[in-house]
Amino acid sequence: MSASQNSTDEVSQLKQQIVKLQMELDDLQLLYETTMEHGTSLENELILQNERITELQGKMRKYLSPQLYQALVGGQADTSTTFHKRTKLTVYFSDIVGFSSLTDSIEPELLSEVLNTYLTRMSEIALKYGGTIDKFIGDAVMVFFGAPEPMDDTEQAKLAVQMALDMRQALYELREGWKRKGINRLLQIRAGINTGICTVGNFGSEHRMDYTIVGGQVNIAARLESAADADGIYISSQTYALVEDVVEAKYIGPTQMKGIHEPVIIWELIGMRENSSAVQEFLNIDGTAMTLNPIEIDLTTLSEEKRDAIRRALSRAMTYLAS
Amino acid sequence: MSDNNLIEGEGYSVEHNPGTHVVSFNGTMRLKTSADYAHINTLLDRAYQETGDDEKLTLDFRHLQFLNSSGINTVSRFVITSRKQNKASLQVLGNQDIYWQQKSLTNLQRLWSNVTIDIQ
Repeated sequence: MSASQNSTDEVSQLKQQIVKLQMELDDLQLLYETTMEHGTSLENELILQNERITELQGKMRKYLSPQLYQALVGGQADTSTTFHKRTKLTVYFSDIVGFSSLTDSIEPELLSEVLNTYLTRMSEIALKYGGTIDKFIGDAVMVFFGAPEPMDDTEQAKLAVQMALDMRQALYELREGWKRKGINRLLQIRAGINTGICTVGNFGSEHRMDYTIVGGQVNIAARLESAADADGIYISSQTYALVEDVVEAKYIGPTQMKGIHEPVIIWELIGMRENSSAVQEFLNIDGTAMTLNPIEIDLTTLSEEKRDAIRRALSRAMTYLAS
Repeated sequence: MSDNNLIEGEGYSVEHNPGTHVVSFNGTMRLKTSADYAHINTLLDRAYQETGDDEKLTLDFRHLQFLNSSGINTVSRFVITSRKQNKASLQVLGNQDIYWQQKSLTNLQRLWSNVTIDIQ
């Protein structure tokens, strides 16, 4: 075999090797590209999923109280049906007197507007005071204080009564607007508040559960609401004891309630005491003792503030005497 | 069906049915490296060898929610190996509701034009 023949064969072999290597290189190039594109595809899907999660979180916010939402999204919440604890809570129930009969007499669109406006306003107020909205049942609202974030007993009772008064005031304002829309029926709120040891946690099945509260003290709050007059807010003596220095309340007395073994001592919440130092100039209440200080009035020089303080001192004295 | 035809791991399974020549992928496959996919590659190679020259081996990804980059690399390498052997043909089944499958499974055809892709 000549040298030139050898050289030709080697060149031919080299060319074959180059073709083979080129094919392998092409395959590796394709492999790289398909793997890269797969990675890109997964990254894009990750972004889509993140957008979906963000959208879902936005929807969740509408259904959950901020405390519960934060506990769930922040990963601090126990979502098993075995999670329960007994703790002191203040529970609020309300409904609108005569709302059920209204549902049959107005158009569904107007009914929906009235109910949604009402519940939105009530939710805003509940959240403003840090209440956990347990549920809406038609026009009924259930809110509690003291869980999932622990709260001092007095603090939770104070916030609950302030919320209840704000909610009632909000309804007064809302019903003016409804009247202009042709709802002539007077819609009135009634509410009940009780403080006591409840069991809070997840109740339901593994497929559908509520973070809610149960127990006799919850039933008392519901019964107080049912017993209240239209536009009335009834609070139990347990709640009253925690807020008596900051609220005006009227003593109703012990009342036997369905399903509750012992009579419940009821107080009717009138309002918050304001400028209590101004009132104390004329009235001092210390436990079971009341002192009314001499009041000298010169109508020509009496200021509005002093007139208001005297009026509230006398009103409170009347409430105290009535109890 | 022998154990050789079924691989089960955390959150996933790969099953070869020699009767129908179908390899089914299920669940979420996120093994850490290509080396971790070696036993799956072995199953695929054996499934291909057991498929007759004029027959078709089907890779069914319809119930595979997730496959990481090492996983697609393993499948891609298997397609290239099969092309070089050029015996049985390959069919790939995908699920149009699973985002990554639309692009990544179609790409397998770039590695071997004889691969048929059916995204359902």
